[in-house]
Amino acid sequence: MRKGFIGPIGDDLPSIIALMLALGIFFSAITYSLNAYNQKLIDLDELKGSIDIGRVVLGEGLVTDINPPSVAYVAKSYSLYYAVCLESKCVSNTGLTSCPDNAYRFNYLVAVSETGGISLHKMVLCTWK
Amino acid sequence: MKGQAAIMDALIFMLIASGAATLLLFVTGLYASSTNGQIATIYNYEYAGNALIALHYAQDSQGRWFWNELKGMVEGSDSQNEINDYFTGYAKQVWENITSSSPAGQNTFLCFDGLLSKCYPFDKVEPDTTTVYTSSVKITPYVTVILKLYY
Repeated sequence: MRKGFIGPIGDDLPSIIALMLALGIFFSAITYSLNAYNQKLIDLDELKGSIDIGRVVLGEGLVTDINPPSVAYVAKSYSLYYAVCLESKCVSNTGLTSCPDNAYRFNYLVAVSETGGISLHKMVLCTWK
Repeated sequence: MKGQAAIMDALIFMLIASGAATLLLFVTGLYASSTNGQIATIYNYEYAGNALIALHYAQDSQGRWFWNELKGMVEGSDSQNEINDYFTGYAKQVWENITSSSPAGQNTFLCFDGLLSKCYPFDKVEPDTTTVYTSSVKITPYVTVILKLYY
């Protein structure tokens, strides 16, 4: 038996541990980066969806219906939940009557055509996943 | 000696892998913490554009069309005082609606390009910043109204 020889694997164990550790660190970093990148894309998509929903609600400038059918269609295409609030009155595709805390909020100044005439309002659009 | 060389090789490899991982995490951190600037820019321009459209339909507390009133004032000889009185009087609610809905809040200004007095609120200094989103509309042949959102 050679002097200091532990075995075919035993002899290489310290370097194998170091190699495994290095590979572990490297692939963990790659996994973390990919997750962060994907999450960012999801966030951007959600924000883009919010802007698109806002465009549909605002239409040509004079709002006649804060929840037209096309809003639900756009929200569905982005897999988003939304609530459109005028003053304290909200309509949403979930039945919620207010914006949840985790929602993105976008304010707009809108002219709303109502039975009594046209009035100016602050409109809040909330979107969430 | 052969075993020691293998360990040394492994340690060098570990060092390189750790360095690459650190660099990757640093870049990821920068990317993940970056603001969604493009979306924010789009939203601010959309807000400003839509707000000006909404103002075309706005009425003051006397039921008069806001835009028409403003048009008359910018053509007058004492436009600054008239606009100031209007926004603190009959059109107070209109201005409150603008500032309460604006993403820039109180840093929202309604400017009149073509007049000596540039921006309402006239007594307020416009923030010294390069980040400003605007939308404009020509109200008379000589005066353009610009909604400015400062950040």
